[in-house]
Amino acid sequence: MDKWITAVLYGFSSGAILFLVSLALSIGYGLMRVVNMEAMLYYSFGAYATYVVVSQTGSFILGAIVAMAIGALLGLLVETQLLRRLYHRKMMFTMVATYSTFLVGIGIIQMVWGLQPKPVSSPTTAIITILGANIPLYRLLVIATAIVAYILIQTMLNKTIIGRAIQAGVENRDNVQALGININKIFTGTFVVASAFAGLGGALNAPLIMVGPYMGFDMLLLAFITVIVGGLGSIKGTALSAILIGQVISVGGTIWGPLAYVAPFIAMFIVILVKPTGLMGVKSAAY
Amino acid sequence: MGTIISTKGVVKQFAAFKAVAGVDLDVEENETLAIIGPNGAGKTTFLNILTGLYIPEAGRVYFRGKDVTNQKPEARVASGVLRTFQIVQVFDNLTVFENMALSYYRKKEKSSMPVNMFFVNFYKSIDIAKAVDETLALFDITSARETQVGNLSLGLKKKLEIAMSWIADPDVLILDEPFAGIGDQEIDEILTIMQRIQHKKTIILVEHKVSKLGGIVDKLAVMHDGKLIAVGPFEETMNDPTVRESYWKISCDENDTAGSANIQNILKGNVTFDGAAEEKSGAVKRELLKVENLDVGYGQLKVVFDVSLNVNQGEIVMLAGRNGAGKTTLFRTICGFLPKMNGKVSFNGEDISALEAFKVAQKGIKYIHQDKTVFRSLTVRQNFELSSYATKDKDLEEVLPYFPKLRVLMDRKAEALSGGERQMLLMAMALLGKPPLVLMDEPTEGLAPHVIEDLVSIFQQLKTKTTLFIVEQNLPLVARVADRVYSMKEGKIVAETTDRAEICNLTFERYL
Amino acid sequence: MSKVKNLQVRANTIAPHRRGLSLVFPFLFVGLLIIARFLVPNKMTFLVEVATFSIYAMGNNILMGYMGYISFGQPFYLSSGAYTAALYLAYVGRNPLIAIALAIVTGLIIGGVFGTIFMRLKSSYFTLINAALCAMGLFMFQRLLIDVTRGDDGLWYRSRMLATPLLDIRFPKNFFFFVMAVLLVVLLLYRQLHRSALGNVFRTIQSNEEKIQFLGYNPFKIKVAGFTLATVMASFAGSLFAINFGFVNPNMGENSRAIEVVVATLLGGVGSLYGPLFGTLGFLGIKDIVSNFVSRWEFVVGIVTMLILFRFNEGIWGFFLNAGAWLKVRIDRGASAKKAR
Repeated sequence: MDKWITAVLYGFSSGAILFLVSLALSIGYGLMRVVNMEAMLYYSFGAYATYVVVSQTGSFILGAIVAMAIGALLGLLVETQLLRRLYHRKMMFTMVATYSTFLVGIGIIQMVWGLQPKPVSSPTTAIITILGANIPLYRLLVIATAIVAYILIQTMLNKTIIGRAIQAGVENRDNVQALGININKIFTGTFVVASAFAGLGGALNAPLIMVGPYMGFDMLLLAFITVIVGGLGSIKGTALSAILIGQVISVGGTIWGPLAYVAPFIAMFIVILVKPTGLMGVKSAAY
Repeated sequence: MGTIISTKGVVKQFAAFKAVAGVDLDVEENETLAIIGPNGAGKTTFLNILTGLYIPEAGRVYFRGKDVTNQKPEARVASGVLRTFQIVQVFDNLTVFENMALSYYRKKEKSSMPVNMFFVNFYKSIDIAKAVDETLALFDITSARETQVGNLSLGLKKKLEIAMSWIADPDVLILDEPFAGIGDQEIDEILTIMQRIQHKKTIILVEHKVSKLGGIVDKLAVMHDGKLIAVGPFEETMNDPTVRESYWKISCDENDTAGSANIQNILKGNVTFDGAAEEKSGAVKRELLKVENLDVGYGQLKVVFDVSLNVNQGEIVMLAGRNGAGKTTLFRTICGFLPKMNGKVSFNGEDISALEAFKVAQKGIKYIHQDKTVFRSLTVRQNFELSSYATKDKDLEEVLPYFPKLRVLMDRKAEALSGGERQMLLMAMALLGKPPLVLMDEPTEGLAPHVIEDLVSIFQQLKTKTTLFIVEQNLPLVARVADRVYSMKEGKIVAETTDRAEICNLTFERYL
Repeated sequence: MSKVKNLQVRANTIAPHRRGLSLVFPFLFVGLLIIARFLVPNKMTFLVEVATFSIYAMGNNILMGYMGYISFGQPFYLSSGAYTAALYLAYVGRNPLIAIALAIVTGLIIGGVFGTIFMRLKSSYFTLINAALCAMGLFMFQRLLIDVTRGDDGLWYRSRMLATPLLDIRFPKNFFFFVMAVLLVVLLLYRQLHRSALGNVFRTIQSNEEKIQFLGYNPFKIKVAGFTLATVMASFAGSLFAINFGFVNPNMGENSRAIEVVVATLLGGVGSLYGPLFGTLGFLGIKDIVSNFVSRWEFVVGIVTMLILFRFNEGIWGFFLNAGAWLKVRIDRGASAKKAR
């Protein structure tokens, strides 16, 4: 019994990280119709930033903050220098461009930190017993962080006038500008927020895995699956499917080891067959 | 002879909105039927049902007596129903010849097995070349045979699209707004071709330019709010009381001959004058917007050449000209959406030609886009909120008196508004914050005549409040509303006049 | 300056896909590869790799260049072909030609099955789901089927292969000629496809998928056909790799290698007839040189791709065509100047 409770809670924590990381993919597509594969760089660089800060100062919190800052900075750089040029290009073009940016980033990581994976120690090793199952406190903190992030971003998009401007801008950029609103700035801001969350995802995942140059690749695939299942451009869909995929990995892996790898793909194929646009995907994605 | 295609009570719904609400229509073999009606009446949706793009929620579609309601588009093509689209649909990356060959090949072969297609070489088949060349000659586009379609003008693309349907030897040819966006000369060319094939094929067309239809149409159908309100011979339908009431909004209580004359005038493009005489103030007018020697282009291609004009405070200035004359490009440049090549745009004496679009708007130049796109997913109130966020002016009472209809619609989603209501919302949003200048791009396009009447009276009321600069192609309307008119042709300003009679008697049209 | 402009104007009046279709080229290119083999004997393996990889790239060009769909999962189809051949040779039979035939059948089946699923999706989803499938395939060959594929150790079967009639392709020298003959045939077929009704229907998918059904074609069928063709060519190329090396390991199907074939296609000139061949030559050439200096070359690939995308989008073959057009203009001018004199 406790085995299953552990599996479910681990699933939620994997889902939490998946959500934080996939947000950048989902928002990038929702705002700009660009599948921004380089989003995984914010995640990787976030993790490496945490590694550096934790090994220098020992403070994980500081590491996470630096990771968010690095993610935001990279997001700002990429959005203003690259994605702006891709708005009206063909999907094929944008995908290849962002993917090669991703490769360049991986190359830089290799040059700076080498191929050897780096360990990051967990900020807390406390264990909590829930219904007889032993759960590391750290995993619960990860889940809590993701929930806060979800509430923040949903409030921003649905309750504020900025969110309304974003919604309108997704429908028609020019008409929002014609009202006198600087929509580019708002979009860039939103994208930077999403990038910061991806950086945070890297920081949170660092103690759970080894920080290596190819961690972005592994996460890219899971993030792909998450946004495909959730529906590109939908925040609620991304959150739902991140939880689903997290559970499928964790519970599936508990049932039979190899399922942890295969189950997400199976889940994706099923969803795609039933609803080709994903759980929450709509034709013109507005949140 | 006999009925070739018919519908029985077809219904097509988008969310809560019934685009087509039960249409019965029988089309006889070899007749030409035109469907008219305001934008949003459901005409295109109806065509999409006829051609299989949409499957109706209720009702049946019959072709030669056979139920084809659930048949896919490609199956209907195989049985001889071909169509063109409102927004021209051709293959930009292929040559004219290849576009034509694809259509001809499919019809001739009756097989689209990939294996068979692999062995057919378009460029070597004498059979295909002969058929394509004949059709290209008929449509007078032979000279473009080897051109990549992406490089063609809109008029040529329209002709090509019709030719592509024609070469497949259709039984029923369906044309969705064949005249939209092309010049009179090209319209006449297409009309000539249509006359040649008239009574040899069944033709169904949707069109706004009613004045062009008289000569070729056997039967006219009028659609309104998803329903057919009249079907019959051309003249008879035009004078049908229901049609006049709901489409032209000409009351039947009026003297009958006057009403009839009015329709004749609309058909011919003539107008009746408004009684009120224009007030001419002797005071010197203050220059609000000044455009000097403006050149604009996309990449290598220049579309606006050396344009100079000015708009004075309190005026209604209109800019007339055909599609493709560069009017929209000019407007978008003034508003900062496009970069200029040379020249200067100044507003209140300040150079604004390098400003970004949102800054131009903040200066007080509001721009209303041609396509009437409100923010669909927001309510009317939220649309207003967005506008007041930018201008910091929350007082809706400033603008609502001009648009009483909007009051009752405040909490409705903007996607549920009609074309006229959308235009009013856009105008009201633009007027929040008392902008000194409002630019409107074709505000009346696609609206029913009675809605246009409402807009005209709003324009006239707004005169005391702001300055209007409007792109408009409807010359009779221009003549009634404008203080001054510029005419644009091929990217240049070719005429300027304040003389209503000149515009009205269509002598102005020679500049267009 | 004006000459350059002239060259562009002239080149641009002809639709890109209608240029350079002469029957001479396939023979010329294969001939040049054979000459190169004798001029630089130690580069024979490289030339075999170029020929094989360019078949893979031609398949990808059908997806990318004709239909405008981009897949980040092509390595899966490549390694499926390779593993089909390898498993057959290692456990079942010994004839390499049958192995190749089986790989083609595998390609047909995989393409048909996944094509009918994937081709319902929007193009952005298509790219992503292929990448996901590729990861699953890698996991399958590496871990799930480890008992038969031997996982990362790879599967060895060179000694089991039997001699083939006419030309014993077990020997690298003979295999070179076999691959050249195969390349010639594939190029000729590809040229036919490029000019055929089918090629043109594929191209319409890129510009207007909706309209094509109103000419009476079923876009879904066409897309599945194109996808299957790409898959078959990939697994065919995979089986050639398998026979050439005499062993396979999961490395071939790694996700990180998905970009290779995409870059090769782009580099040669996307959508063009001989682009894949030249792109492969250029790409493998760069890889060959770069690998002498850096061990992992993601960085270089990324930079090269960006350069092609933003600065050099007609690719190598497009450059040759433009140069050819420019030369022709000059010759014509020279001739007319002479006449004038």
